[in-house]
Amino acid sequence: MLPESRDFQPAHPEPHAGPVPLRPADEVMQLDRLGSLHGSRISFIRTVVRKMMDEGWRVENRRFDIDRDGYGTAIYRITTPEHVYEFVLFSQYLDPSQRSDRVIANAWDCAFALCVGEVDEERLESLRENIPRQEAGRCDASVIVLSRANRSVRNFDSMVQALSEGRQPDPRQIARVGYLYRTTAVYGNGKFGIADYPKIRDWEDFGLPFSAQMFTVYLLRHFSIAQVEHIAACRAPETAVRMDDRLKRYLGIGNSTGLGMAPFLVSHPKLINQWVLMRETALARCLGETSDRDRLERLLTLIDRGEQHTRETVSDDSRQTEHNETLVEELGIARDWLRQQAPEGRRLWQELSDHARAHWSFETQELLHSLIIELYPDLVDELELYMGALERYDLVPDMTLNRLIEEIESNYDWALAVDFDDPEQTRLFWYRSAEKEEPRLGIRGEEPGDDREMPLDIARQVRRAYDALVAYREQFGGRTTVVEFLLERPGFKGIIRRVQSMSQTTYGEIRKNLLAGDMLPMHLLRCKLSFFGATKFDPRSSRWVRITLFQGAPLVEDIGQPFDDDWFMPLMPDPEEVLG
Amino acid sequence: MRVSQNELTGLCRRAFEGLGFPPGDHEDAADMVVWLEQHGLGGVDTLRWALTRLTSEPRNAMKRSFEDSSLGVIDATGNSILLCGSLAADLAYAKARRKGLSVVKVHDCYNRKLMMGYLARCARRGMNLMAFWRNSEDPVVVEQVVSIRAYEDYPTLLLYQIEDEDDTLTRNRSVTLIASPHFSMLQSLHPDPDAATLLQVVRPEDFERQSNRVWEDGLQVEDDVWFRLKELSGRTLVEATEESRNRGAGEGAE
Repeated sequence: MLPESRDFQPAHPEPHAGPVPLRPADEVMQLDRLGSLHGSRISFIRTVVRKMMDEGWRVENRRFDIDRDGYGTAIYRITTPEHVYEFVLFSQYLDPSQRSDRVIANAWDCAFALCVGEVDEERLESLRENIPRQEAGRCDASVIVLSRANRSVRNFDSMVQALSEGRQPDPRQIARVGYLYRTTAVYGNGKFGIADYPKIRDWEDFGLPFSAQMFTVYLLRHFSIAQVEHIAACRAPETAVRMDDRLKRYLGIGNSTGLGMAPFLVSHPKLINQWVLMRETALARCLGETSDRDRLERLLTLIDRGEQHTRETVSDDSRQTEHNETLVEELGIARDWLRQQAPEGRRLWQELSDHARAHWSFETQELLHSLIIELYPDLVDELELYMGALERYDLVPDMTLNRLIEEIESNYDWALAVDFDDPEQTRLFWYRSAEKEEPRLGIRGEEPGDDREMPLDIARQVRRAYDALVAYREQFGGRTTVVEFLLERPGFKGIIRRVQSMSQTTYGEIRKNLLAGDMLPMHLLRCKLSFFGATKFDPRSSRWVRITLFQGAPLVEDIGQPFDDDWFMPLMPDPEEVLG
Repeated sequence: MRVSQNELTGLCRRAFEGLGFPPGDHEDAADMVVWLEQHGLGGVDTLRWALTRLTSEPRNAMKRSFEDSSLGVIDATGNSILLCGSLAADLAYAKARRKGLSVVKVHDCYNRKLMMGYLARCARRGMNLMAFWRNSEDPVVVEQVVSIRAYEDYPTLLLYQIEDEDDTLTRNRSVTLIASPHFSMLQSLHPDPDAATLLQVVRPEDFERQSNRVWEDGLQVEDDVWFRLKELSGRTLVEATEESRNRGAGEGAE
C-alpha cells in the first residue's frame, strides 16, 4: 500500500527564512492583528513601482482630448521591455447626486481600462461604449484591467482654483485627503469579459498578483494631475501655474472599499497564505540579522518618519484616531528604547520585536516590523516574486478518518474552541445582495437572507464536519477513508477539501469565527489593503474604509532618474517652502 | 456573448449552488463544465441539455451497489455525472492508492463526458486514469475512451464507432473508471476493424492548444444559456431592502 497521497507538486514556494523561526499562525492570523498590518517593501504598489523604475518603462501621452472642464478621452501608451499597453480613460460629467462609492452606483466621474497593444479607432469606439458602463458593459480579453473613479470634489475644485490663480495648493489639504480621485472598484481576472489572469500570469510585466491593477491605479494618478493642470490652464491661461513636483509626488489615489473585499480573503486561502508567508519570511530574515550602528540610525529615521506620517493621518473614526494616537506615542517610546541600546553584535531587531509584543499595541508592533523590513532590501525584495500561488484545492480521498480528525484537532483548534450553542457566535451572516451581487452582512433573526448565506463560516463548517467525522468513526472505524465517508455525507466535501489543503500551509486561515457578533469586518479589509500597500486608513464605519495608494511614489517624469525606493510613509511637503 | 473563463466558472458555481448542489459539489460541477468548454468539447452545450433535467427531475442519493478493496460499483440513480462523478473518481483514486489498481463503475448516469475535467484533476495528483463509456447515437453506438497519465495536464480522447449487438453498456448508461498509480493503459488507435472504427482522436497537444486559445481570447457562450445560469444563480441572492442597502454593506457610510 502506498502512503496517503499529498501534494505531489507543491506550487507554493517557501523560500528560506533564516535562523529565526517564522511567527506561529496562532499569533499572526488573529483577525485583530491582521487588521493592524501596514504596507511593506513587498506590497504590490512598491513592487510595481520598483519594476517600472528599474526597467525604465516609457509612459507617453498619445491622446489628450480633454475639454476645458476636464471631460473627454485620454490615452497613454506604456512601453515595457516585454509589451506595449494602452491606458484608455473616459472622463465625463457626473451629476453630484449620482456620485457614490458603493458598488451599486451606475455612473462615475471617470472610467478607464488597461489594454494590451495599441487601441485603434474601432477598438476605441467599442471601449467608449462599454468602459463607462462598467459592470453593465462587456469587454474582451484584450483588456486586462477595468476600473472607475470618483473625484474628491473638494480637493479637485480647490486645486484647480489655486493653480488657475497662480498659487500652489496647500499641502495641509493634501495631508488631509491625499488624492484627486478615489477608485471604487478595480477589476481584473476575467471580470465582465476582460482577460483571465492566466493569460498574463507568465508575463514579466504583470504576472505578480494585482500588479496590473495597481499599475492602472498609478496611471490614473498621472492623469489626475495632468487633468487639474489642464483645467486650470484652460480657465486662466495668463495666470495658471503647473503644480509643484513635491505636491505631485505627495498626491496619491484614494480607494473606497466596503465588504466586497472580505469574501476574497476567505475564498483564496492559499493566496493569502502566500502573501502572509512572504511577509513573515521577510520579517524573519531581517530579525535574524545582527544589528549595526548604520542600520540603527536608519531605523530611527524611519521611526521618526512613521511617527510624523501618522500625525499627518486624519480620520473621523474615533477608534482609528485612538489607535493612531497610541501608535505615535509608542513609536516615541520605541525610539527612546532603541537609543539606549548598543547595536553591535546582537539581534537588536528581534529584541525590539519581542519588546514590542510584550508592551505595545498591534499597530505599533506591525509598523515596527514593516520598518525593520525596510532595512534589508537585499534580503527582502526578491520575495516579491513569490507572492503568487497556484490555487488548487484537491481532496485527499484516501486519507483515513483518524488522520483527518487529527489534522482538524491540530490545525483548526481555534475553530473547535468556538461554542456555536452561544447565539452570539452566529449573530451575523454574510449574504450577496440582488443589487449587483454586493456582499453584505446581516443580523440573524432580524434581517432576511440567512437561508442563503455565503459560506464564509469556516469555523462553523469545520465544527460540523468534525462532529460528523467523529460520529462516523465511532460507527465504522478510524481506518475508513475520507471518500467512503463522503459517499455517505457528500455535503462535507467542500470543507474537508479545504481542511486537507490548508493543513499543508502555515498561514491562510483567518483565525476568527466570521459570524460572531464581535467580529469587525474592517480588519479583513485592512489586511488585504495592507498587502496592496495602502496608507492613511480612514474607516467610515466598521464595514467601509477609505485609503490612499501611491502617495509619495515617483512620478512618470521621474522614470529614468536615480531612484532609491524610499517612499514608504511619505511626509507632507513643508507648506512654507511650497507656498512661499 | 464573449465571456472569460473565470466569469463562466463563477456563474456556473453560483448556478449549481442555486440548484441546491452541496458545498464542494457546486465547485466541482462548475469546473467540469468549464473544463470541457475550455477544451473545445461543448461543456456549455452539454450543460444546456442537463439543466432541463436538473431543474425538473427529483434528485436521488447515489448508492454503493458493490464494493471490495479494488472494485466499486455505484448506482447514480439517474443523476447527472455532475453530482456523482467527482466522488466516483475519488473512490477509484483512493482504492488505487491502496491496492495499486482499481476499477469503479458508475451506473445510470448522464453527461458522462463531463467527467474528463475531474479525471485531469486526479491525474495531477499522481494517478493514471482511464474512463470508458458508450453513447447510443442512433443508428450507431459510439464508444468514448479517455486516458490521462499521472502528473500530466491533458488526456487523450478517442471516439470509436462500435458494432455490438449487445447494447447493455449503452442502455445502462454506465461509465467505467480504471486507475493505477503504477501504470497507464494505452489506447489502441487501430482497433479490430470489424468491430470498431476510429472516429476521432483528440491528443494532449490539441487540448493544450485549445486551452491556450481560450486564455488568449475568452469563450463564446450563447445568450440563452448565460441568462438561464444567471437566473439560477439569482436563487442565491437576497432581495435588497432599504435597510440592507444602507446598513448591510457600509452602515450608511456614504
